[in-house]
Formats: sequence, structure tokens, C-alpha cells
Amino acid sequence: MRGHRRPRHSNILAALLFLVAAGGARSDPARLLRAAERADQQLSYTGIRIIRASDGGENTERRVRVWHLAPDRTRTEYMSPDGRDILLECGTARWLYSAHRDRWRPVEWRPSPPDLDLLFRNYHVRQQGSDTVAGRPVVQLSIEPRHPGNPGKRVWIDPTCRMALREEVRDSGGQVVASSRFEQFELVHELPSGLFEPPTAAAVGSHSPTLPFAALRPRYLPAGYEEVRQGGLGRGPGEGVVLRYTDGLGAISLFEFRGESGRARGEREGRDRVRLHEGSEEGGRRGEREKDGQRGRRPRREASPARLTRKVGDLFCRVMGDIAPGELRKMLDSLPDTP
Amino acid sequence: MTCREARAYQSDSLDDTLEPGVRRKLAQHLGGCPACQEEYRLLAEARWLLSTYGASACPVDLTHLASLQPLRSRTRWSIPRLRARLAIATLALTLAPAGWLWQRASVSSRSARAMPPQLVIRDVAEVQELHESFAVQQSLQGRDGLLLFAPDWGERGR
Repeated sequence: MRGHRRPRHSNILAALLFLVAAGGARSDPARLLRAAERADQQLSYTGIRIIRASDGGENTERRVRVWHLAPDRTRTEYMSPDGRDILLECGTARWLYSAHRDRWRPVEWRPSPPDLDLLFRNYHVRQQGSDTVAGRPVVQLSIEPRHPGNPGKRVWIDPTCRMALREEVRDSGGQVVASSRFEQFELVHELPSGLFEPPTAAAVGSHSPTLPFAALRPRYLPAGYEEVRQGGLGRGPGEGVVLRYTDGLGAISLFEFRGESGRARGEREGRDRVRLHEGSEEGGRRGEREKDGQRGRRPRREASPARLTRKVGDLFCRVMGDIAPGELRKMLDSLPDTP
Repeated sequence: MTCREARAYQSDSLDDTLEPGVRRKLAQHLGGCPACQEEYRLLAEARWLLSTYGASACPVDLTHLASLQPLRSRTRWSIPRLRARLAIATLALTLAPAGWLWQRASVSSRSARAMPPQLVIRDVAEVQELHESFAVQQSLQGRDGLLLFAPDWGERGR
């Protein structure tokens, strides 16, 4: 029995379209990357995504089914044997449905807006070739650091729709620290509005209280890094501040705690303990992960970020980042000697 | 008492407005349910955190609405109507430009690149996780950091 054949001219047209688009990418990978950053605002799609973090050879994955309606509505269902949690995003409002608790709760989260200008200042972007992801032909870009000791990244972008379908981040040693990819991907024109119906739980309103104290700022920053965020933290009776730095791809966090948050090594408060000492992290983290069991397993990265601490007056300062420890030490040592 | 009922009574328990019988049942349930116990603890901590916030200026629209509410009390007040209206109008006229300046300052501070915007204060269970979430946001697509950690935050009642 003869099967139905696709007309040859549509195959030729698709190939031509890909070649034209890929040729455009070859001439300007940066432009393709910029277009990929905006893709979510312009494209509606559905699919299955896998986000992965590695920890000592043991991979932890989040496998999710996604429905995205441009520009800013997304429904994500976690495909987990423990239960189908759901993350619903409508504009800046977000809610998480916990299958375990059988209820919705608002989620407070602020995205980090991509700063491609900063990225291009600190990284080279080159085309590496072509590949296939989720059955779609893609162009592979590599993002390599100009300053040694920083992470690198590969991005696989569909040049016809300018959508990043796969990403992989490696640390300076070449180990994969994070990755995400579409296993299935399909562009759509519309989606049922019922998928994005917000729950009755009120969304978290935005408000900006003052920081608990003026943060100490380091006088030295690794090459290419800029401060992009600051925030206040509450932890039991203590309080703290976190400063965030990035060079467009890498990340450094500087935590400063005051009060009872600076606990001595080994002192625990159930889940609320703050690990503020070098060397105690690995055993403590594994122990807690085993205690949490399957449900509480948190994705961890194979190459854990370097962590250094320093006490300045009554402030306990801790810096973390995927960068050479020597750079973090310089940063920490450049903090003012008095709060 | 079921977990659903216990969750509904927790806030009233902190406000000390529960009937003794219900309070007793809630205490019994919390004694045997670690999940509800954790929820209760987080709620109490959130209340404590809120109590540590300093006084802040009230938005002008809220003040305006509040000032329009009729005074209600068991005691009759004999405030002359005209004086009350003049007082309300003066208050509104005074606070309106202050509120406008406050909103403008908020917008300009958000757009100013020199001082990064502030995040809200919240409880965190692990400093390491905060950094990893930020690192993933920076390295992968922004939402991936949220997708990786949101279920755990939900479990901890973050």
C-alpha cells in the first residue's frame, strides 16, 4: 500500500529556509543570541523540557511539561513520581500548586533580566556548527570567557523561530554545572485560556522595604563583574543582606549576616541552620539531603561553588561563586575593616 | 482535626481568638503532624518579621480613603461637621504632593542603574540554595532557576 508522501517542494523549502537562517547566524551569532532572548515574548509553544543539575556524578533532573502563551503566560507541570506540582505564571504573578499539600501558594520571585551587552564584553560568541534538538535543526553557538577562570556556555538555537532549544553551562574545568533542553517542542498559535486561570490565592504584591543595614561593598571585583542586585534576608532572629554580581554568565553572591545568624560550626536549628564555615559544607549538605529523602532532594551542581568567609566587626560575610578561590579571597579581603 | 482545618485555624490561634475547645484540638493536631507544625512555625516567624518593620509612610490614597470613613465608636463625638471637612481636605491636600513625590522617587530609584533594586526580606533555609538559584538564573534561561527550586520552596512553605 502506498503511503502519503510529503510534497518534495516543501522539503526543499524547509531546507532553504534553514540554510538562509543558518547563514544569517554565521554572519552574526550575537544577533541570533539577542533574538533568542526575546523569543519567549513573541512565540507561543508547548513541549517537554528537562533542566538538569549535576552533583558528583549523580544527576538531578526536573522534567516538566510547558505551555507558554506569548508574551508572559506559562504553565509548567512537573512530571514527577511524587506528584504533579504546577507552576503558573501570569505576567509578574506566580503561583505554585503543591501536589503534596494539595493547595496553591503565591511565589515571590524576580527574574534576572539578561544583560547581553555585559555578556558580550566578557565573552566571545562564536558559531560551532549545526545539530538537531527535539527533531528541529539548530545552530550551535559557543560562549567562551575572555577572562580565564570563568564558566562557558553552549546554546543551540533554532534559526527559523530564534528559540533556544538547548543550553549547557560548564565551569572553568569543563564540567557541566547546569543544562536544559527541550525533549519535545511545538510552536502553537493559541492555547486554551483555562490552562492559565489564576488560582484564588492572592499573588504576592511587590514592596520594597529598606535593607536591615548598609551592606559592606568590596573594593575589588573580578574582571568583568558588576553588581546587579541587592536584597535583604531574614533568618530566624537574625538579619542579613545579599549582594549579587555577574559578568553576564558567571555569578557571585556575597552574604552578610548580623545577629544570631552567625552560628558556630555544628550548631543546628533543623532546616534553618546557616552554614557559614568553610569545610563543614560537604558533610552537612549530604547529611541533610539524606534526611530530606526523595521529596526534599535539591539539585546540586557537580562543581560546587567556592565559598569563603570573613568576620568584619559583628558581620559574618560569606562569598560564593564559580570562579577561582583566589579571586573570591581578594574580593573578601577588600571589604572595609569596619562596618 | 484534619490538616486542612488546622491550616484554617492557625492564623486565628496566633491572634488568640480561638475558642478553647478548638484551640485544644489544634494543639493536639500540631503535636502529631510535623507538616502543620512547620507551617505554624513559619507563620509565627513571618508575624515576628513583620513586627520588626519600622513605621513607614502610608500611601496617600489609603490615607485619603481612611480619612473619609465615618468615625465609629460607642461614644458620640460632637465634632462640628464643617471643621471635620476642612481637616480632611487639608490632610488630603498636604499628603497628595507627598505621595506623588514618593511614587516618583520609587520609579526613579528603580530605573537608576547606579543603585540596584532591592528585594523583599524573606526567610531563607539555605544560603547555598540562594546562590545556586541566582547562578542558574544567570547562566541558563532566567526561568530555569525558578523551575529548579520552586518545588522545594513550596515544600518549605517559602
